[in-house]
Amino acid sequence: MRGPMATVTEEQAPPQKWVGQSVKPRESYRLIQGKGKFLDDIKLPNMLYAAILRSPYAHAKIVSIDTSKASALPGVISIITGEDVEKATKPFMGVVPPPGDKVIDYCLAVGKTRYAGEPVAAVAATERSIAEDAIDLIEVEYDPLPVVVDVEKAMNKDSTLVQDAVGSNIVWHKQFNYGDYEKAASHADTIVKEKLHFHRFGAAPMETDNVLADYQESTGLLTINCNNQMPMFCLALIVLATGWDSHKIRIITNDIGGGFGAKIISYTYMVLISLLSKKSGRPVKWIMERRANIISGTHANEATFYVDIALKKNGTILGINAKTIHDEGAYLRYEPIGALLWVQVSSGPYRFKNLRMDVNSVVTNKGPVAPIRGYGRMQHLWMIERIIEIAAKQLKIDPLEIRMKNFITSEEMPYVTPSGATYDSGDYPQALEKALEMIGYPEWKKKQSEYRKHGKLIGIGIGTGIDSGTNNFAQVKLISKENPFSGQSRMAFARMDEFGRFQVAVASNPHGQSHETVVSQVVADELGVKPDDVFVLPGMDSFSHPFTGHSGSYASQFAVSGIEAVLGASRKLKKKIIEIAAFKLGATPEDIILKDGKAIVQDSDKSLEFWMIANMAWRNNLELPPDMEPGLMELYCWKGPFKLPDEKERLNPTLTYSYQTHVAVVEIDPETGKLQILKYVAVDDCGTQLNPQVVEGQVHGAAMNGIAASIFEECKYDDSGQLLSSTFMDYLFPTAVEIPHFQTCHLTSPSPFTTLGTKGAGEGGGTPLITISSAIEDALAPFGIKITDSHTTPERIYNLIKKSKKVKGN
Amino acid sequence: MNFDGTFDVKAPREKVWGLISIPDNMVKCIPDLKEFEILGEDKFKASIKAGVGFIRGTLNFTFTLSDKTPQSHAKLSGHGTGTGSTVDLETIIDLSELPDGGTRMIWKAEAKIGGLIASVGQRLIEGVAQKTVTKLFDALKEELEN
Repeated sequence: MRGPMATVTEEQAPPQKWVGQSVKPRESYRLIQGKGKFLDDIKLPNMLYAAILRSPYAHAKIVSIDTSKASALPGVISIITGEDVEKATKPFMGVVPPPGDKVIDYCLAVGKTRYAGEPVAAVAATERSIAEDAIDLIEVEYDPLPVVVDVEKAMNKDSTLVQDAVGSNIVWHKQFNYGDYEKAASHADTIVKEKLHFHRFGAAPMETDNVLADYQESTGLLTINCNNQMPMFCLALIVLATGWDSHKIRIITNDIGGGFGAKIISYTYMVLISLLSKKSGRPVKWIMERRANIISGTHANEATFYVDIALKKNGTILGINAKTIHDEGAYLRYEPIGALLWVQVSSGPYRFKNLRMDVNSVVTNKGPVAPIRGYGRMQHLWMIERIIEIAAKQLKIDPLEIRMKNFITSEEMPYVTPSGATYDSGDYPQALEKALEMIGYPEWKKKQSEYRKHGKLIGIGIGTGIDSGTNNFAQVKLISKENPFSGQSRMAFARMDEFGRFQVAVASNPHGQSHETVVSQVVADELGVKPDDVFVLPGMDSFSHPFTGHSGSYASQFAVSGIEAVLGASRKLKKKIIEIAAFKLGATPEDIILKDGKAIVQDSDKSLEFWMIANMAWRNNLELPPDMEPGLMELYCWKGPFKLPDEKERLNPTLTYSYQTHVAVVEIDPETGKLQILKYVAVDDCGTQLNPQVVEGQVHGAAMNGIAASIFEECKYDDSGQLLSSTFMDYLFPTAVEIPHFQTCHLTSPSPFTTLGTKGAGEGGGTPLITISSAIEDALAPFGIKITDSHTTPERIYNLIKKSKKVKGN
Repeated sequence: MNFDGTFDVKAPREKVWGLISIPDNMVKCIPDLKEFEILGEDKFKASIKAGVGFIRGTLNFTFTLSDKTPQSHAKLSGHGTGTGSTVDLETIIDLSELPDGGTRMIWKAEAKIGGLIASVGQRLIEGVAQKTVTKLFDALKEELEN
C-alpha cells in the first residue's frame, strides 16, 4: 500500500540560473557531520551553570522562600528569587488594551505562581550538577489556591482569578463584523451549528531553550547568546522591562536546533539568566531540560469554537458566525495575537463575504502559549474545513463538490477576503484535482465501499491550508490602536571584498531553512557569480548582521522579506560595480553586464575582473570616478508595501499566501480504534521556488508536524493543573515507522507582489490536522460520527464508536 | 486522589485511639519511615522513603492531628515535599466499637499530588498508594493485636 517517495515538479527551473535550482544546502554539511555550532558548544572562561526551580503547584501564593541551605552549598555563586526580580525589573509589556494590560508577567513568579512548572527561583553554580542539587535545597512555602483549567469555567464571574489585577479571566474580548452575517443567515436554506475544539500541543524542538548571558562590568557590555528565532524583536521587550542600556546589548544566535515558534517567548529567560550573570559577575549558561520544555517551553494556541455556517441547499456558503475562546494559559506574552491572526485567512480558501467573529482571550492555570507553527491560522482553517464537512454531510452534498463550488478561483485573484486579507495568487481547484489524481481517488472510493461491506473502515480525507506569510505588524492595532508596531522590514548588507568575493548578511536567525544557501543563490544570479563566491554570514550577531525591530524568522516570510532585503543590497552593489567599470572602461552603465566574475561591455572585448574593480574601491581610490565614495559595501532596508487598518478595521495583514492541499487515506480498526495512514499526498504552492529541495524539506516537515499533532501530541492537564504528558512517555511522537511516505507535487503561482514571485512558506498552514480529521470522519461515516476535536487517539475513536453503537441500540 | 476504607481490628477502642491520637505511638507504623521528630502534642515530622516508578528519594512530611473527639474521631493532615514534588494529604478517621469488643476504623483520605510525581508518575501513583495503605494498616494491626 505504501508507494515510494515521488516528486513531480510542474514547472522546470530556468537553466543557468541559480534561483530555482536544488543547490545542496551548505549548512547541511556541518550539521550532518556533527560539526554545527550550537549554544551548548560554547564554553567561556569562568562560566557558571544555571538551574531553575519550578513550581509544583498550578496556582499558589508564595508565602516564603528560604535559600540559605542552597547558598551554603559549595560551588553555588548566586541565587535569584521573585523578590529580586520584582526589584530589578518591571512586568513585561504586552499588546493587549485595558484591562488586560494589568497582566503581571515577570521572568520569575512574583507573589504567586500561576502554572505548574513556572520558574520560581534560579541558581548559578560552578557546575550544572551543583546548581541542580542547590535548587532541591531551596525551601518554598506555598499556600495552594483553587485551580482553573477549564477555559469556559474560567470565564464565569465566580471563577478563581489567574491574573487578579485584571478583575476577570477574560483578558481580551472583541467582536469583528465583516459583511453582514445576519442578512446572510436570513437568506440561508440551512444553518448548521457545531461546537469544535482545537487541542493544545507543543513543538518539542531537538534543542530546547538555551541562554548564555555574559555581563562584563568593565565595558558595560551585556552579550546574550541564545536560540530565539526573533531576538531583535524581543530586544524591545527586554529593554522596556529592565531599563538596561539598549546600545550596550549584543545578541548572538548560532546554529539553532529547531524553532517552530516555540522559543520565541524565551526573552523571559534571556532576562533571568542575564540577571544571574550580573549578580555573579560571570558568564552564566542555562540549558533547559526536556521536561521543562514540554511543560513550559511553550504550547500552541488551544481554542474552542461555537460556529454557525449559513448555506444554500446547493452548498453555496453565505457566511460564518463564530464565538472563539482561546485558552492562553497563565501569561500572555505575544497573546492575544494568536487569537487575532485568523484575519490573515479569514474565509479560508472560500469565497464567502460575511464573517462575524466574537473573540475571547482567556487565562487559565496552564503553561504559556507561543507563536507555534501555523500560529492562529491553522486553528481557524481547521474550524472552517470542519464545519463545511459537517454541513456537507447534513445537506448530503459531496465533500469535493462543496469545496469546488466555494473555492476562490485563480481568475478571481488577487482576492479580497472579508477581513481585507488579499490573497495574491493561487489555484485551489487545480491543487485539489492534482492531489485527488495522485492519490487515486476514484479507486479508493470503490475500495472504500467494498471494504465497508466487510466491516473494514477506510476513510479519505481532504484539506486545504493557507500559509499566509510576510506579516504586517499593523494587524496588532486591531487589538489596541496604541500598539507601536506596523508594517514589515528587513535589513541586509552586500559587500564585495578587495579580491572580488562577496559577503552578505541579514539578521534572519535561521533554524533549518538553509538561508545561507538560498541567499547565495539569489546574490549569485544578481552579480553573475557562483553561489560559492558568496559567503553568507552564518547565524546572527547584532554587532555584524544588520537588523530592524522586525528582524528574525517567523510568519513564513524569509523568501520574501529576507530575500527582498538581500536583493536590494545586491542591486545597489551591482549599480556601483557597474558605475566603476563604466568609468574605467569608457562605456555607459547600460552597456555593462556582470558575468562570470567580470564586468563586461556588451558586444566588445572590453572587460574588468571584479578584483580590479574592488582594488580601486578599497585600496586604490584615486582611480575611482572623482565624486565617488570609496568602498563596495551597500546597506538596504526593505519596507513592506502595507497599509494601516481602515475605518472598518480591515487591512491586508500578510503580503503572500502559499497554500497546501493534502489528501490522505486512513484505515481504522473498529475493534481497537487504531489508525493507520495508508497513503498521503501533499500538493503545495509557494510561488517561485528559490530552492526546490529546501521547499520539499519544509513540506515534509510541515506534514509530519501536523500528523504528529493530529494523532500523537497532546498536552493533557488534570484538574489540579498538572501536565500529565510531561515526558516523551506520554507526550507522544511518531517515529519513522508511523509516518507515511509522502507523495508530493509542487505547483507554482508566482506572487504578483514580490520581486521574484516568491511567497513565504514553511509553516504549512496546519493542513494535516484538517486532512486527518476529515479522513477519520470519513472512515467513521457508517457510524454517523462527527469529528469535533483536532486530536484523535485510538481511545477516542474506540469510545466514539462505542457511544454511537449505544445510540443506535446495537 | 481519594481513598477510603474500613479496617477492623481485634483491640479495644481506647487502645486504638491511644495509638492513632498520639504522634509518638503512631509514627512507628508509617511505612518506609527514615526518621521522625515530634514537634508537639499533635504535630510531628516524618521523612519517608518515596518510590514511584523511577522517581526515588525522600519525602519530608509535616503531620498535624486536629479535630479530636476522644475515642471516636480525628483528622490527620500532612504536607510533604521532596523529589520535586508535593503531597498534600487529609485523612478523616472515625472509630466505633464492634460487638466482639474489637474496633472498626472508617477512614477517608484525600491526596493532592503536584510536581514531578504527579506529571510523570501518574500511571503508577494509585498502585503505589494502595501498597502504602496496605503496609500502613498491616503495621497498625501488628501493633494493636500483639
